[in-house]
Amino acid sequence: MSVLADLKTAIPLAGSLALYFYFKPSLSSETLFFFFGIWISCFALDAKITVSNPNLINHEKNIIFPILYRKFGPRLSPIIQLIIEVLAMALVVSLFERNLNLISMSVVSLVFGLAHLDAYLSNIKTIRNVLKD
Amino acid sequence: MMLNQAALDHEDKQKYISIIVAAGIAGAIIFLAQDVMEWMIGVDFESPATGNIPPAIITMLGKILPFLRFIGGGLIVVAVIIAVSKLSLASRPVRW
Repeated sequence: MSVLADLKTAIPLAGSLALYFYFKPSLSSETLFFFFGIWISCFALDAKITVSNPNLINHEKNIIFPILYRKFGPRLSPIIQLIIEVLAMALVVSLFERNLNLISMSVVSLVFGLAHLDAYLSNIKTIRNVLKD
Repeated sequence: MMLNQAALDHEDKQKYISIIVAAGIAGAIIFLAQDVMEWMIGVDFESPATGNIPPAIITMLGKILPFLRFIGGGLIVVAVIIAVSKLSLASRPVRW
């Protein structure tokens, strides 16, 4: 398991988020839908590739999802994961701002979406390699 | 020392968990540094009434500690992205 590969993508994403909260540039409310849209699409891609390969659930590096998958199965677990993620977004926004703000939440959702996209792309490679073996 | 594959997997898993947990805890400590310092020395860095602490130190801490909040928050976000958000597969079974 490469921790470094995960850190390599997570650190720049977290850094850009911290910079956003530090400088707090003003964003229009239309971008909110765009950012949430990116997050939902990337989450759907990532969840789909994970759920459609149930034989690889033991390979999952996420700490929560395999537990949810074993308890609630392939249909309910992505929905619960989605709810947990929304709560995590709310937590991150309240950490930096101490109040909930939809535009900041959409920026956090964009960062989470990009993390999902990265996971989706690396999953395609991993599945190919595992199937080869 | 020779280790078999299962032992290596187990070691990797332990390292992985400990790095993520350490990042989360370190982030929380750095994030709370300002509140802890305010509680320990009894000074509100946002509207300081210095008392017997030199004002230069209060000014310096008042600039550094709010900035540290963003670094701590960033570390917490790293842990959240890796442990909660991303659904990425490892090339070998993880078995949590």
